[in-house]
Amino acid sequence: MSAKSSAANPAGGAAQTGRFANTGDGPQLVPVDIGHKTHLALIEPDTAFWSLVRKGALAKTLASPDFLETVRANAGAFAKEMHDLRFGLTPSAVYFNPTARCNLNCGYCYIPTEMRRSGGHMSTENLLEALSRLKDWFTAHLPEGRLPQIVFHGAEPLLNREAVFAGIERFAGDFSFGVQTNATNLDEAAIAFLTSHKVGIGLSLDAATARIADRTRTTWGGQSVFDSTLRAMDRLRGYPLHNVICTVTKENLRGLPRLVEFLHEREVPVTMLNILRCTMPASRALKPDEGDAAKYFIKALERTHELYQKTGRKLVVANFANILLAIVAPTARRLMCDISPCGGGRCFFALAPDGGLFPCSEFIGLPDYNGGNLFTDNLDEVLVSPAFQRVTGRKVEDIASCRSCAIRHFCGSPCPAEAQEMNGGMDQKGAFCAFYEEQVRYAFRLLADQKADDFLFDGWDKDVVTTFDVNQF
Amino acid sequence: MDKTMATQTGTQKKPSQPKAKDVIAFRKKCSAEGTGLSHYILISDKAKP
Repeated sequence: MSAKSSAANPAGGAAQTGRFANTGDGPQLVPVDIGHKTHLALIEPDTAFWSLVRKGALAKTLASPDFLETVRANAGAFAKEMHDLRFGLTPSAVYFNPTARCNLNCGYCYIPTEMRRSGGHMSTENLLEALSRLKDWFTAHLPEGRLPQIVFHGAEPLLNREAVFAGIERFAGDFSFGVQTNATNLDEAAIAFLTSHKVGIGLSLDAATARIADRTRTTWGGQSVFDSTLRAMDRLRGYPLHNVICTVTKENLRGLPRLVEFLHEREVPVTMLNILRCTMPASRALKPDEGDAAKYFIKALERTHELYQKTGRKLVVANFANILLAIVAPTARRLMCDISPCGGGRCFFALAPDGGLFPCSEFIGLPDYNGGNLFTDNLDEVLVSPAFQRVTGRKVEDIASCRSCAIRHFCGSPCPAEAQEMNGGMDQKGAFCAFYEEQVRYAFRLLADQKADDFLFDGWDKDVVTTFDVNQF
Repeated sequence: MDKTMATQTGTQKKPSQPKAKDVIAFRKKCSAEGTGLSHYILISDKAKP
């Protein structure tokens, strides 16, 4: 760094702008209490620059010409990086609903009840036609060599298993495929087919016991599916491309630490502990207190760390890992909910069984967000349709309570669907502000304690370069 | 970044905790490929045919 001339002698020489923090053109550095014994965060919100500073060194750091020049020198590159990440990506994934129907009636589902109960399947012919159209579009829009992703999603995609498997068979090599399933139809034959085609498999399980899991996930007749999910987990043990998603509600919150033990015992490599979405009115009845949500979520994270220390084997909680990545390497994040604009309509989009296109699966029950139809409309035009732009245009800068939030680019104020449906508009924040706030604070505490890597995927930084390190200066 | 989110079964690394510095700040970068939403399906390089 070569900035000693800029601020070392404020009484002499020509005045230079940007010499001081938080005035003029100087860096905006917001101190943030992260709940750590010795360190707090200094964050430049616009560029997502962060530093952790020993509390006794805060005044010295804020007045340090070297430190300030370091921040200033990198601000342009950081701002460009964030701008490209937020506004410059091309869709590369489709959440493909091959059926509107589901054999379960989960209390928090964002797909309308009538649709799940009696909606139709996409025919095999239409499914193949849809994949063909998507292949053409991605070939024209993605860099050569990059495979687009198709995630068969629901509702329950394996209710339309024959069509799904025909699509995977026909287009093997054209897409990376995944299936998110409740596992009720995941028999040995299905697993043999999916694993032999290297399809990612996501299972849904909300607790380590049927007593708790059945509170939110049962058939329409109220029957438990806990045992069938466990059988599928046992069959998938050792298959690296599987994960288990848990939806966190007030019904299972206290069981999260036990759930991660349960998953770790079964050698599940990755889990997601997703807080429920409050898009649909019925799901709001399951909304947990945010303080409790943060408390038990962090307890579960700590338990995964204890298990890692004890066994040397990680159970990565992917949605939290994504928050960590949002801080240490914004471009390395894999999930695009906790960024603004979110990934809906700009990194991925959702396809309904009738060909309807939506920015995200979360909007499939909301007709106002139908941007067109894959079989009849031009996809390029759909992606810039008013329905899509309402989502792709939602920015934290336009949300009053986020505009001045120092961690707005680590959280992104998810989710637009629940902001609209629960809080009354796209210019409102999402349903779990305090919960995300606590996750970010915890992530910073891990960074202060230099434990963050223990919560990330092994090898996550293989193709990642360090663009800035204060200790190099 | 390594897109492999495969199992870490067999990893024997034990975490350590070095003493924290007065100022910690770093940033890393890679080609941005974020594609998932909250219903993330594991799809790694190993899944590519």
